[in-house]
Amino acid sequence: MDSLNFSLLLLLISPALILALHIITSRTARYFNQPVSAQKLALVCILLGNLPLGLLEWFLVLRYLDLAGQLWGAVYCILTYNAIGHVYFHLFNMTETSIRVRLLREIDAQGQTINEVIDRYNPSNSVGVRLQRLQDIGVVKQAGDRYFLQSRWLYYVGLVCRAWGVLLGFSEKIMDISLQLKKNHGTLIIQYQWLKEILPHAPTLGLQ
Amino acid sequence: MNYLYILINAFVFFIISQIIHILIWRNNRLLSPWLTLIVIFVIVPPILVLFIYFLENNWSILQYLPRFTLSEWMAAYLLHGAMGGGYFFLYPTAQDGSPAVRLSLYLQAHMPEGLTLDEMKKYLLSKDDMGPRINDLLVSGYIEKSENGALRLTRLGRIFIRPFMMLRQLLGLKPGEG
Repeated sequence: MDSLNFSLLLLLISPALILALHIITSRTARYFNQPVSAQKLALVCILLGNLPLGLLEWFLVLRYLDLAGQLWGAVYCILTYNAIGHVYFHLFNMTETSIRVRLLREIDAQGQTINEVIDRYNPSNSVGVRLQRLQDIGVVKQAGDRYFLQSRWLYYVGLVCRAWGVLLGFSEKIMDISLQLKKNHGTLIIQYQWLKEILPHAPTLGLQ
Repeated sequence: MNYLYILINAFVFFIISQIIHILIWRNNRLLSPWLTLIVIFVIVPPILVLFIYFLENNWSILQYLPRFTLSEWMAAYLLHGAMGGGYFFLYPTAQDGSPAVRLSLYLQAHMPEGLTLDEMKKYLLSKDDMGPRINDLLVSGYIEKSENGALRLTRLGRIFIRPFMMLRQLLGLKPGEG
């Protein structure tokens, strides 16, 4: 097997390495009753995985190349491994945060009618759980009964995604218009919110 | 083997896939956006490689370009695939925003006063949002209605959900809360 094929093989099995690290750290944290954000732990495991994978790539493949080959080879391995890690993180995140995954699990566990599923779903809990997760990863902080944005990285991700959505031709959501408004325009925000809810049903309501 | 060319090829695959994705999305109403997205990101690179091979053999000027082995194309395809896979998970956020992202945008718009829990509840999910989600699962074939009106998982739904449940069991975590 030539060295490039060997390098590819290592990268292809890297999700197994991340999973092994994740299982060990997650179970250890539970064993010692350490409250750790599940998302933060997944991220740490992905970043930690750079070390063993980098060492393997270096000793088995990269050290036999010339300087330029080592440099670009390292860039390729780092980019590919972390892109794979990014996919792993989102897959894990789906098990943690996806409402559709939760719905499927609950329907599998206990067959319910549509109305029972809707009644069981408590939006208060959902918002609370999401806020707690955002606090765990340092995006949101609570002071008294109010919540504040502590770190802006998710906000910037949101801005980039919104700009990308516009590039793809998704119309700017009414939600976004409300973001331009400040708290003292509360009535207007509620009206826009109402419009956002009503617009998807416009054909059935005879509205255009 | 030249890692620089592999990197360039991977980014060319990814950028061309994205350009096709943008052009199709801006000009068409798609019945199955996910299937189209998968086809673009999976199929475009091999077509591009075949096209280059065809040009190299039939167009003399291209014979001076570097030629790549199958392993080098595979390496480029792997990086393209990993970037494309990550993009698949970000695409829904570009489409309608994930709740966490929407929440951070909404909070930023209300800084420095911040928001109370009730204000955020008004803004985020309501019970009414569950109807379309359930309908989406029905239409996509993950769940179906049984004779007594109860919902149940289809075979596709079971195949889809099982790896997620197994992953959480392996990690020793209780089921996610959505």
